[in-house]
Amino acid sequence: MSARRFWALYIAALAYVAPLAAAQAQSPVAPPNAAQEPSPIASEGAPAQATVESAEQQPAPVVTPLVAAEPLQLDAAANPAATSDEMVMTELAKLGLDAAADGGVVDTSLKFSGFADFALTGVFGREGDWRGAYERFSAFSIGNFNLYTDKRLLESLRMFGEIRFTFLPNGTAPPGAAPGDYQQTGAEDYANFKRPVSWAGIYIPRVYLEWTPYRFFGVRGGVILTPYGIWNVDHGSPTIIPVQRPFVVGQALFPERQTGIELLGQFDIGHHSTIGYHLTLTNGLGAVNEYRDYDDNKAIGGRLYWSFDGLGQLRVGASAFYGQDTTAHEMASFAPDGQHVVFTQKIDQQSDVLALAGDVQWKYRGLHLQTELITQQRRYKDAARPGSSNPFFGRYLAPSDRLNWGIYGLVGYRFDWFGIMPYFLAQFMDAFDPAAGALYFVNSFFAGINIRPIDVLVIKIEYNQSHFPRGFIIAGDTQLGQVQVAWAF
Amino acid sequence: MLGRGLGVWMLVLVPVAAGCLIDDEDVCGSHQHRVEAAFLDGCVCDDGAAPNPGGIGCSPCGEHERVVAEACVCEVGFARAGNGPCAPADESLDAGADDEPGTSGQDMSCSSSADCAGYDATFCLTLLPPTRCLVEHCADGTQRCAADRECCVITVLPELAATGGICVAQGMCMAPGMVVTP
Repeated sequence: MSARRFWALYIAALAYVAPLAAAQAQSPVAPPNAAQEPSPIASEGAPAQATVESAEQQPAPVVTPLVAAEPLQLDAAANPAATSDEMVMTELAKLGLDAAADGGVVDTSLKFSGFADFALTGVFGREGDWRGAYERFSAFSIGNFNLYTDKRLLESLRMFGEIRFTFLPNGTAPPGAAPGDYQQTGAEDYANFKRPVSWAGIYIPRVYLEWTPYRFFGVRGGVILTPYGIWNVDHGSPTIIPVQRPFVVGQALFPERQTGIELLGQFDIGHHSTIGYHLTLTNGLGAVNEYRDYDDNKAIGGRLYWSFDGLGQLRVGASAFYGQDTTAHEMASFAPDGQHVVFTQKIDQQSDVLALAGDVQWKYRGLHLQTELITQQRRYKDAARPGSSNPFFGRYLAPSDRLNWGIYGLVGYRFDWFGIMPYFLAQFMDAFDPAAGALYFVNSFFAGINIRPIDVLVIKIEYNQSHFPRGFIIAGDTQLGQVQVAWAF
Repeated sequence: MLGRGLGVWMLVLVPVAAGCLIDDEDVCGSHQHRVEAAFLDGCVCDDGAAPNPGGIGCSPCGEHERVVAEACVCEVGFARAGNGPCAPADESLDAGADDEPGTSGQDMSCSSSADCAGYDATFCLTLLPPTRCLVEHCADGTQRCAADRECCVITVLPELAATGGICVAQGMCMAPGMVVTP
């Protein structure tokens, strides 16, 4: 299907479905302000009912508690021992963290919060295929242990960081190795008679400084989560209704995160309607986009959404990203004078990437409807389209220019009784993965129960099945059973 | 109010959605065309063209050249001096053009390894067409690859793992395959 025809069909469907869904609602019950987006702090902490399941990150010039629970506070004023420690105060003063009259700190507390999840995952099916590729035996695991750090430097200036602690890379295949060729990260622990210990890593999804002088205008600088769709920014496992995000979100057709600048804001266009926006200018794609740009073409992106609280909570959004994806390395050689070294860039892969997405979420009383369509068009430069001998094809194969896309729809209903939500998610994805050298042409469904007995705790029990109509490098359908407990802290 | 908000949103979405980066009629590079087979989708070289060294792009073979194992080699009776074009060769050059020692039967069409029996290239690659005979057991030095080939070890599939490495054109061994030098 061509990209134009595809989008035309989607828009036509969207134009038909969205007003129909809204019109079928019975009576508005939400308070007038219910449609206003929650503050970014609340959405990032995400422990509360209202913020765990939906949040559009917005600037909020007021100081808001990060979590409902009491955060850990390193508050000098509240800690007599700290105030008496002159050395500490001196060090803080050197950093500009004294409580000077003009500027400095209005809130000296440093707040930590975050989320974590614990799961049991098992693969159903025959021996030797998906069991070997994924997990041969069912296993318990800690999937995410993410720590949020929030510090308000001024009333309208704050920093926010998220760190994921992970057991990776222990037990994973090293790059270029065959799947299942597990590496170990053992090291001798000098603090324990050199007994073996497996070291682990950290991943930094985001860290940025944010200035929000007005509700309609804010700016962030740093590593940011790409503002698109629903579950890329609101990615905490207590927020996600299924155990994992849908394939098309995980496939990162938009970059999951970027390094650069983000403008954002929102404003009301009526009693029940709000328009919000995000604009980004970043390094774009690339293996080390956190601090390196392999080309001089900065990526641009944006998101526009409209929220309406006249019939429950309806939010409709559109997102776009355009950038150049370059993989390159530097080759050193002698300059013509023979006295210096010069560097020449050798481009290994280069392509233009245009990603477009649309999303709709509607919550009315206990009902939760949500869909995202995410697309990515990738066009390679002729001189930077790397091919190689594909072991499954038996000959040379290079990636083609391609429209990769996927869509999912989720429906759930949250009962008051124990906060139980039965849900069903159906999805389809058609995307070529150069790393796997294969096409993910897959349809799938998730069916499960999401239980939220208290605001900060979610229990998920889920079965999912995926079918590959065009086959895959591993034969057969996948069938997974998962139980997950996710919590915010 | 609902209609107005939705209208504003659609006004924005429609032009954004109309953006199109890909020319559906030209999704591959020069001298390439698209193939779609099962879970594979990509570009292969046109007939009479071979991948460039390093795997980026394809180039048509020159005069008196033909594609063998995804490389341009001289036709029988022609030989190349250095990197020059193929020219009529004397007997000694002619003998060395295609038949490097230890590579007999290489790229010969096959339907099973029985068809490759008796040649140096004893492994019939049948995973996907075109099926052909390849030299195997090169990882431990039991067999040597031709000068324009390298030994590629692929352990992800039992059928390929059992070969002990197969000789593929240089630069054509992709992950999860690994080039080994015995």
